[in-house]
Amino acid sequence: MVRCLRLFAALTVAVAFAFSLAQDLDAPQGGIVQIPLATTPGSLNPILPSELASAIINWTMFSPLTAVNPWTNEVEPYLAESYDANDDLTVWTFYLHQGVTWHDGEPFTAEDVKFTFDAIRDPETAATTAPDFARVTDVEVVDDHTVRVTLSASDGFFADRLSLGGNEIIPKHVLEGFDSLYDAVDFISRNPIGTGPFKMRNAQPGSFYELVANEDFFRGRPFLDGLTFRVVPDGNTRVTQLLTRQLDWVDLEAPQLPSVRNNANIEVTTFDSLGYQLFAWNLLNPLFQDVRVRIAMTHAVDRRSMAQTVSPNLGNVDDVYIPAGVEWVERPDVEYREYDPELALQILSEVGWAQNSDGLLEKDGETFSFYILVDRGDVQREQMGLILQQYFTDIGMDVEYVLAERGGRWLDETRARTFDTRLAAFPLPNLDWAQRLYTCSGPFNSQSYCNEEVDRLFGEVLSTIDRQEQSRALTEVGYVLYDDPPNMVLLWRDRMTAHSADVGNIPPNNIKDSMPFSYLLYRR
Amino acid sequence: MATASSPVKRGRGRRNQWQVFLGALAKNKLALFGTTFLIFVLITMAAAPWLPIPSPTRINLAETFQSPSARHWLGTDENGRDVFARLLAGGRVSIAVGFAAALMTVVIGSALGVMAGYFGGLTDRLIMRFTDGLLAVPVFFLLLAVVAIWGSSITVLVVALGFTRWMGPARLIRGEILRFKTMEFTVAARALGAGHVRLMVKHLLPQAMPALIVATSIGVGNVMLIEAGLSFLGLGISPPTPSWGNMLTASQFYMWTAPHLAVYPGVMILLTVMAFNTLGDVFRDALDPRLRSSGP
Repeated sequence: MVRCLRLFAALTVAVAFAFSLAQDLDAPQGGIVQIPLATTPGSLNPILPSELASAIINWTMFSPLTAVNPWTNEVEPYLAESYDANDDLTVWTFYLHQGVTWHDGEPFTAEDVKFTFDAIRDPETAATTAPDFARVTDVEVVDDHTVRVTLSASDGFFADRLSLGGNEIIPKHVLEGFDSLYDAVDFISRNPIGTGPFKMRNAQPGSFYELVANEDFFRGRPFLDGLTFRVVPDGNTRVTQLLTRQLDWVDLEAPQLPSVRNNANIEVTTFDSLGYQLFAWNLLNPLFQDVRVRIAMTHAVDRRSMAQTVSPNLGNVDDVYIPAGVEWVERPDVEYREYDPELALQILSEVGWAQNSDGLLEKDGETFSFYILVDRGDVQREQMGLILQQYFTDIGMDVEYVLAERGGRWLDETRARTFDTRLAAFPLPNLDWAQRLYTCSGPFNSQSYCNEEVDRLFGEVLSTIDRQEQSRALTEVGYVLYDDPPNMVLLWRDRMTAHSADVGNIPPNNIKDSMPFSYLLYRR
Repeated sequence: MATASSPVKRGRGRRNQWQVFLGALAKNKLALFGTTFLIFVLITMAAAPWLPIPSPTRINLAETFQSPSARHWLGTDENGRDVFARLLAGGRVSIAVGFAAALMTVVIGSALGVMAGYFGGLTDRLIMRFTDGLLAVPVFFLLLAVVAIWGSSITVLVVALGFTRWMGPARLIRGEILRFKTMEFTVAARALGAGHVRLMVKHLLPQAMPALIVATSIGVGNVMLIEAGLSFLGLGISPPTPSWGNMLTASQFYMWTAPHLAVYPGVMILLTVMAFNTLGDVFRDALDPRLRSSGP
């Protein structure tokens, strides 16, 4: 317990220091910032399942107990003033901010936290973050401003995970009267009530949402008078609207950069997305079960040229499964698997695959045939799928390129684990997410990867909150994943946003993950 | 039987169908340009395998976004593929889909149209109300649903287009048949003992042929536009097979860096569709005697 608190204190100091470096806390008040949403938000209740647009807007109206500071990538207490855990990390206690009120003036208490957590745990809610609460056995209100959460097993990342969105606290006094959270239709679509920096004034689903500053926000009144979210589905239209000052802050893709580069009214921010594009083998398929086949296929692709083509000067490729942006984890020192089709063929021949008279790889009368499932919409992945098809075809594989709707066949096959291979992106905003992807029973492990050593090491990661201990175990995980690759890293993505030059305190992060700190945005 | 051919010979001032067509074409400057363009494009496409151009699907990461050169006549795209080769390959797909689907609409449409017009009564009412019903469904959204269910391949696309666009030709043909079935030659044929099928196929359908040819020609253009629209939305021809529509889709992402990539397929779609439409006009002028100028 003492160790936990010490660590926490040190963290707070470090965070405060980084804060003072990065942000202007003496900013002018007033003005409005306009932000795009790609779709109409599906739910203005943050804990109900939803999509990107909901995550963005809900984080400005609702407060989570913890949040990731987008300037430092560190987890900070937010609606909780502080928190601690017992020695074996099974009991987490959150000490809440005092004097917080809901947008309707009612006081916020520990009862609201219990109500929210219980709702997330309720299978009827089908909350996206329910897996984060799988170990929770009890949520107890100690007093008005203290909540104690008891877990069935150690979980060193419990507080961190509350920062990932979908765990924002919702008002008990407004929602307890409904049999199901889905019945609160007005709340979900037009009139949400939160404790966040902005409150809803005018919701026009499908068109725009006008939010005004919450004068009583517990971290201080926002610098802005309001935020306006506009629904703009097309990426090029969003950039055009930035140029015409109908929007102030948009995500930018590499080919769009020339349109804003020499514009004095627009600034571009580049940041590490902490996520990567990958080529995943379905390890239920016998074709890919031999690790040598996976390593050979990695050597068959010129991943550096491909990365440079699909994302010029934005990102890099290596064979480390941990983002470089997470500085506290020591990166495993492994050799990059260079493009070497000769070597690829040599390794494949060791496994028994040899080119037949047609130049196709053959073993026991079977050819090396599979398809690459690509989700439509992500231009980088659409392009990389075609390029991969050619590299694999060049060494004699029979490869089909299948472009499918993300919400249709792509997701169906991902869930049913019936794909041969697929392209996807994994975000690793928090290293805890890696265990969702690579442990045998991980919820996002659709590639069916299972390595006992990886499971054991992730068990070690979860049983401590000591960053050094975690770092050591994660580095070990990196070595194991290198030797027994679960997928092929295609691109660690750097990303960009562009914003009006007169908007200040824009964090080096994507728009969504910056939203808990939207109260610091200001207009010059 | 020598006298049977005499009416044609007697009118020495009359020209045969081919001359009529060329005459109409010469008068319509736009159509003349369109047809020349079309013939040029079709010949180039047919000759593509023998032209010194790279493969339309071969990716070359070292040669992305190149300007036109001796090797790449129209430059390269985001994957270093030759744009000219892709235009030809894409055009083959687009025009083939256009022809196949337009033919299919005409076949289905004329079969139903002839039956409705010929039999009349309940058959007519059933077929025509069904046609009206389908006409009330927005075709594009119907297609979106079909493609979403059965996936997008060239076959699905052609069949889907054929089955959702036959209503226009069906109504057209029915009108023609209604007009001809009371005429003397039909009555005569029937009196000589011609059966239903013979009457429909041998006597009535040939009379509606001019209308059919016009409908097909304009139909090719329309279908190509729909195919381009579907491919643009990602529901038509799927990569790596190029089509003008999916070339447009791919290029929209690079509109800031390489806007010319959108211009090529765009211009090709525009000119080809225009050519088919103007060709339809010429056919109509040439084949419909009521529109033919009566001379000096």
